Amino acid sequence: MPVFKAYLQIIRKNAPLLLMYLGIVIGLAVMMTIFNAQSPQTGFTGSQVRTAIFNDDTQAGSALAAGLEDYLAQTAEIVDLADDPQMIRDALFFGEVSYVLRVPGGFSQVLHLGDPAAEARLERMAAPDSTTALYMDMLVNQYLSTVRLYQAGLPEATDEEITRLTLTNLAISTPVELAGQTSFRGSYENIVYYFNYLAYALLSILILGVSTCMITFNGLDLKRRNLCSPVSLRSQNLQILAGNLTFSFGSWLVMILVSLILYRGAMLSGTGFWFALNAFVFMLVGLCLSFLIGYALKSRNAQAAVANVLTLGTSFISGVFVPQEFIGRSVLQIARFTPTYWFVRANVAIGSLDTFDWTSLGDIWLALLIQLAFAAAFLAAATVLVYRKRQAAA
Amino acid sequence: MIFHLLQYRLKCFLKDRQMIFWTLIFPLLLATLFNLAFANLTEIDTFIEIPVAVVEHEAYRQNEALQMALAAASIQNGEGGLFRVTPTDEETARQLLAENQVDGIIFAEPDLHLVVKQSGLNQTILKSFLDDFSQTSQALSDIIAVNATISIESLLPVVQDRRDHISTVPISKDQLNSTVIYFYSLIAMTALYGGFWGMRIVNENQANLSTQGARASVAPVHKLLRLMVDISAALVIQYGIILVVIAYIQLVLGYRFGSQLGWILLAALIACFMGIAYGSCIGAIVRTGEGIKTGILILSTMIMSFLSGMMYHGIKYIVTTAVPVLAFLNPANLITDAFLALYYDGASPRYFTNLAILLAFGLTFSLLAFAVLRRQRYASL
Repeated sequence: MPVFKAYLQIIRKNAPLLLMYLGIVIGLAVMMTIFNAQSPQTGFTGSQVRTAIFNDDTQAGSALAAGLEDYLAQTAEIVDLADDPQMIRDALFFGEVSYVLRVPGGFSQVLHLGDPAAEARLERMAAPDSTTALYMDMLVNQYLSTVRLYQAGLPEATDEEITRLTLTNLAISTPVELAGQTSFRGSYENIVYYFNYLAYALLSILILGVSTCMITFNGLDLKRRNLCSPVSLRSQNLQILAGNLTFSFGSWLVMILVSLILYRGAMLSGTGFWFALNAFVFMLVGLCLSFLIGYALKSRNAQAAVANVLTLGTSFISGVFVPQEFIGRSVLQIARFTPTYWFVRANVAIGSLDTFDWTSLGDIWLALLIQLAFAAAFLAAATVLVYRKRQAAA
Repeated sequence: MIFHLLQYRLKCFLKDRQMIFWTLIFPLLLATLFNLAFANLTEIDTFIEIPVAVVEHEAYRQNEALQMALAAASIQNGEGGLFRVTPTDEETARQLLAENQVDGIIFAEPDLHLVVKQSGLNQTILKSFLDDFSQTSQALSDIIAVNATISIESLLPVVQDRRDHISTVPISKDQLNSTVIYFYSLIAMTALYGGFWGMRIVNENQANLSTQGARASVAPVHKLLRLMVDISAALVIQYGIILVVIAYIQLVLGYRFGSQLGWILLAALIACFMGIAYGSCIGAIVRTGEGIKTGILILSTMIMSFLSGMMYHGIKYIVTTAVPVLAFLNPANLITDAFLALYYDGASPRYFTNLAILLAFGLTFSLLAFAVLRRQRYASL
């Protein structure tokens, strides 16, 4: 099979570039796993807002301010920050903290007197109209109203007692029940990220690999040489097809093996099977698209440009890098016309599968079928192009 | 003579479609994609009333305090509240939760509790609201237990007086719009991609690297002059490109660059110079094939852009706080930071520091490239 061998040789020559994309997807997936390092959740965990607190009220008799600090240390994630306007601004800008609270000097004193004219004020910095700011404001005000309630009810009590009572009171917690919770949640989330990134990497690898081979074999000189060889055209085409299939299948297999190494047990489950199946279908789409591109392009100059525009473009609008729920409606409407959108959608649906009954799988089947339809469309377009080119040559 | 050289060099550059794609079209494309993907990121945290169902058990109907508290916290006549409450029966409530129509269900019996589908900020706010409710009743009974002289009625005004003790330090959304980082580091990437021109200049001036170089070397034109003309041509084109990208990001996509046009133009110019010098330096120092040189340029640009926040803006903060030296040694970060300084507070010391280091990098790269290129003679080729 000389043509098949040549095919594999072309792939081998381009291996470093193709492996780079594999490296990118693994790097991104590992990074996501580190950022997202959460143990599998079994119960409800309250959100903890990243908060910096600057307590200027530290002189004697400031138990109330110290109590507030203690309370926030329990309910929020306290971040140590240098008390420097520029540092605070940078930390807020880059999302290192979402909420900055400053307790002015003498705050406890004003609160202690309970004089409505001299209202005790805390200063906070946070994004306007944000949910995090609203929640943290709620917590702070909750602490202060409880303090005021105890002060009004127990006028004799000292600040220390009030603080102690308030903190005990605020420890009362409402029971929360989780409905329909699967136990593997945390790790599936990371697998969804991996398979989403795979959309970018697999498509890049297939387009670069397959189209490079197609362009090479369709080069005028090589084509003329091959046409006068004793190997029939039919056999040549079958060998190229075999090459294409081997290469695509191999790329898919490598990606699945990597996911097996990264996520082990979670991939060997029923959910893991669906991830792999979805990726397989997407691989077929990628193969047909690459075949089309390989025939449409004449030279390798435009190849990298076309590959980048297609893979980055579809990945960005379909929610590969930024989850679909964060992307604008109108953008997603356009993204529906790309196979990547349906691949990502299926991944997300698979990641949140609770049971494997027909109704929960319905969405996934739909996404798979649409992807297959894309594959068929690309293949049909490529076939038309192949016949046109042949007629032009003849 | 100079104009002749310049004119033809410009023509050569502009007709190189592949190069124009990578230096101009690719950044424009990425900017468009960033805009499509990140446009909504700043809105994620914007508060929207939390939909919640409450099960109308007997216990709920009798608990007037809870009903009042929920009513106080919900939307009234379109006024913004905390919750959008749906009172219903248990089956419907669970259905709504399963379909993500509500974030949680409040049950009043057997004890006050909450049912949610996942952990999250909205769910935490719901829990916190119920906590507050139980805590207040507990506080009241605490007080009655200790201080028998006081009546609940006299405390109710205090309970109902939900005073806000917090004053907000005004921050505009613009000041917190960290998506600009993606666009600033994209400008940095564009400037560094200008290195392609620098690399090409070196390639076409070196007699041992290309036939054009060999031809040019026997021409009776001083090498330094030719190099200067070529670099000027690259600078003209790259500066034009970067201004187009900046204009596109500011005028079409609507991300601000600060208001001081003159300083923006200066930062862009120095960034371009540095980028071209960087490319020439790689072209001159690395002694391998063109493919490897291009690979090094692309890879190093990508790593530097990544560290300056082009793929994830938080990286810039992590690098700046954890390894400050790396932030100062990374040209892409310097460019990003210069634009960020302009955005924050105009032409500040931070802006000038960044530009000064960038300029120093540019000069160093140029000198290195020139040191390798000068006085080379070939006995034969």
